[in-house]
Order: sequence, then structure tokens, then C-alpha cells
Amino acid sequence: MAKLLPTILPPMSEQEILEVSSIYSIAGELDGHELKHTRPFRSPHYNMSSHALIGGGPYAKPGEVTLAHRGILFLDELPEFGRKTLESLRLPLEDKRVTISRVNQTNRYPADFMLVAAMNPCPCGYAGTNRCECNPHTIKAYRQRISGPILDRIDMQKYIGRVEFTDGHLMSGTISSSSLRTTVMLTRERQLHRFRKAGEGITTNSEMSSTQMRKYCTLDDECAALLQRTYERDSLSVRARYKTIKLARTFADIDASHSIQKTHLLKALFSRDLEREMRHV
Amino acid sequence: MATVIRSLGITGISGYPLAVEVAIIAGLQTTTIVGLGDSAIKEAKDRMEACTEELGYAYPTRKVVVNLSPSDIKKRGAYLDLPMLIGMLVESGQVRPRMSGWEEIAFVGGLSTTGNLVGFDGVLPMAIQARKLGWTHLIVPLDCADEASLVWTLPSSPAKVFPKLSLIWNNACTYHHTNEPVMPSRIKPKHRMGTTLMSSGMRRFFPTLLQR
Repeated sequence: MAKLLPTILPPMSEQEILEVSSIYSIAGELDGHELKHTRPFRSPHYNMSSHALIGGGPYAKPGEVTLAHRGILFLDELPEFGRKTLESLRLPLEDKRVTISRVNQTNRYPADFMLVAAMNPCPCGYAGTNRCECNPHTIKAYRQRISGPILDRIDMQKYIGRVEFTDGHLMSGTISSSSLRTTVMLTRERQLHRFRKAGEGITTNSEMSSTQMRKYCTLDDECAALLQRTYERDSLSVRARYKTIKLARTFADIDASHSIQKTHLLKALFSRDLEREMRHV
Repeated sequence: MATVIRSLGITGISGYPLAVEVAIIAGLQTTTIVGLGDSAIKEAKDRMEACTEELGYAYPTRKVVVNLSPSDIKKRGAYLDLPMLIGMLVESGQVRPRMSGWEEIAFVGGLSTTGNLVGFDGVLPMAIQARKLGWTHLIVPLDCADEASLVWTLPSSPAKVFPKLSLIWNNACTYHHTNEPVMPSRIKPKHRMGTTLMSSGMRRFFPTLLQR
């Protein structure tokens, strides 16, 4: 499923194509005959070191986060990654670039990627069904391999149920990538239009600063109260709260709604499955 | 006076202009390469010596000093072999530029001891930077020619230009721009800017610039 993500993302701009192609040229992975027009999709094995992920070595080289610049970094089996490897993602996720300092030089590599990760609900893989053989402690220990700060930085965490053999509709393909891509592009267009009109110098909701959020993400009394309640009940972090509001703004943009409605906020609040479950385990 | 050859380096994910300065001074027969090069760059001196002989030239019997300027930025890789060799041949008077303006040519490429050019990683950001700087001439190994041609047009072969350097030029591709530099933002996606055709354009251009 994650592999299909690049097909629903908008095509890259000329500047982005040159950036990405330059990175691949330096890494020696550019197919010499043409520039890289498709967004990168990187899915490194969980056995990787933090240097391979972030970049480094005596003569700093770009890592997977840089190779995923303007594209997708897919970490399959997230809890199997080393703790040090996962924690090293904290800064690039915030700064969208990595700075590798050596005695004689400092290298800056861009790392503006979308992190997509997948994991099993428990070691045996059947948590939530009666086939699960794990005890609560094992499940908790398994999930705790992903630290709070990393989980905090993931905007959407969804529990995806088991696919049954009889689920025929999965094969029939009710929604195509191209129609999803149109939705994505329309939504981005709305965001771009809003920010460009006001001269904010940003293009997407995720880039909004707290000042910009106060301006574009006004919540009515009912929504504000709902958010407040959830915030207190689930003891969400400030970052998670900001991310929820930005996500609600995006859901509103998908519906071409000028203001954030209750349904948009609810959708956003229901997008943090894993974090909420962790607090109640 | 030292000879200065135009070249390019890479920092982060972008290229930067680099000057390879070659001086031959009084002293014992040694070659020193300064300017924070890694071991691949330090080893270039042996490749240069072997290459010089292979091409039928004589390696200077005095002290050869190569400076990679700006000398406070670390450099890695073997792509500066070619500018160093050209600089040494010009500085020792074995290759004489006949025309002014030859300094405008930027050289990048590695050497093998057989006298051939070898490709390297990262030519694209260099080619982009060279265009941004408004440089008009770029010589790259044939291995990298496809990549350079993504942002450079008017390729041609510099072969048969320098009879005695033909081993090198057989394996090289030259690009030049006569028009205004095209900024990368004007490059259309899904459209390849140039093809690696060995046209006669460069053959006409190159012999008039450098001649033994």
C-alpha cells in the first residue's frame, strides 16, 4: 500500500526535480539517461545503522532521509529498527534537513520527506483478535520500542484491520490512484492559493507557524471545547495538538470548506490511534 | 607563473567553483597536492605521473605544487585528476594554449594509468553550478556525458584535437554554451536538454584554443 503513495502525490516542480536528481547523482544512483521525475520512494531494511539513515561517515555522505527528499521514506516493521536509528529521525523530521558536522567541514543535506511506517499490533501479529497469544506486558514492551517523541511527530496513526480472504472489494479497486491524486492536487492548490494570496511564503498546511495557525485555523466554541476535552483526557502534547489542528485544516481543505467544521476536527482526532492506545494500555 | 585551471567540487548537494593551481618550482622531483584533499586526491600524483608517460610527455624533474583553491574546504574523490594533469602540462610548457580565453574551460574527470578518462559520481550538481555561474565550456569524461547533457547542450567530441592527448580525448565529452546561461528553473521537466551526439561543433571550436 505504501508503495503506491508516490502515485497520489503531485508531480515535482522543476526545481525539485533538479534537487532530487543532484542528490541521486552524488549518491551515484542516477540513471544517467534522464533526470529523476518521479518522487523517490525509499524503504531501507530495519537492520540499518543511524549513519546510513541520516548520512555520515568520515567523509559525510547523504543518507536515506536525504535520498527520500521530496518523496517517501517507508520504514516497514518500525519496532525492529534500532532505538538509536529511530531516535536520529527526530531532528530531520522537525528541521527538514540534516547537518553533519565534522572537524573540518559541515555538510548540510536537505531531508524534506514524508515518513510512512508500518508495524504489527503485537509480536504475534494478531492483537485485537482471539488468536493473539501475547500478554499485555509483551504488547506494551513491543509498542514501547517506538518512543513517545517519535510517535508524537507522526501526524496520522491508523489501525488497519486484518484483510479477510473474502474481502473482494480490495481487488476490485473502488478508488483509483489518479482520482486520489486529483484530490491531493486540488487540496494542495487550495492551500497554495490561500497562503499565496496572503503572501505567507509557505505552500502547505504542515509548514504553518503558530501565528499562521491562529490566523487560518480558527475553531468555533464547540470545536475548541471538544479539542480541549480530548487534549486533557489523552494528555496530548502541544506538538500533537498543533498537528491535530493542521490535520483538521487539511480535512476541511479536502471538503473545500472555508472553516474547520466539527467533522473535520473529529476525523483529525481519530487519526492518532496508536498514541491513544498506548496511553490506555 | 602558476597555471590556473577551472574546475568544480561538491559540497552538500551542490557544486561550487574550484581552481586547480599548478606551480613548478625549484626543488627535488616531488609532487605535493595541498588544499585538504582526501587520499584519493593525494594518490592522483601517481596517476598523473603514469598518465604523463603513457601520453608521451615527460614528467617535470622539479617540484610540482598543486593547490586546490579554496584550500580550506575538504575535497574528496578522483575527479580532479584531469585538471591537475592539464595544469601540469600547460605549466611545464609541454602543451601551449594558442589563444586567449582557454582558461574559461572547466575540466572534471578522473584518470586511469592507461591514459584514459574515468567517470565519477556527482557530475549533475557540478554541471548545474557551472551553468549558474555562466561558464561556457565544460569537459567531462564520456562516462558522465549523459548526466551532464541533462543540463548542458551542444556536446561534441574533443578527440583528434591534441594528437598526443587523444587517449584522453577519446574518452571525453565537451559541452559549450554560446547563448545566455539557462537557469535550472527554466529547464522543462520530462524534457532532455541535449543529446550526446558527437557533433563537429566542438571539433571546430577546440583546435583553435589549445595546440601543442
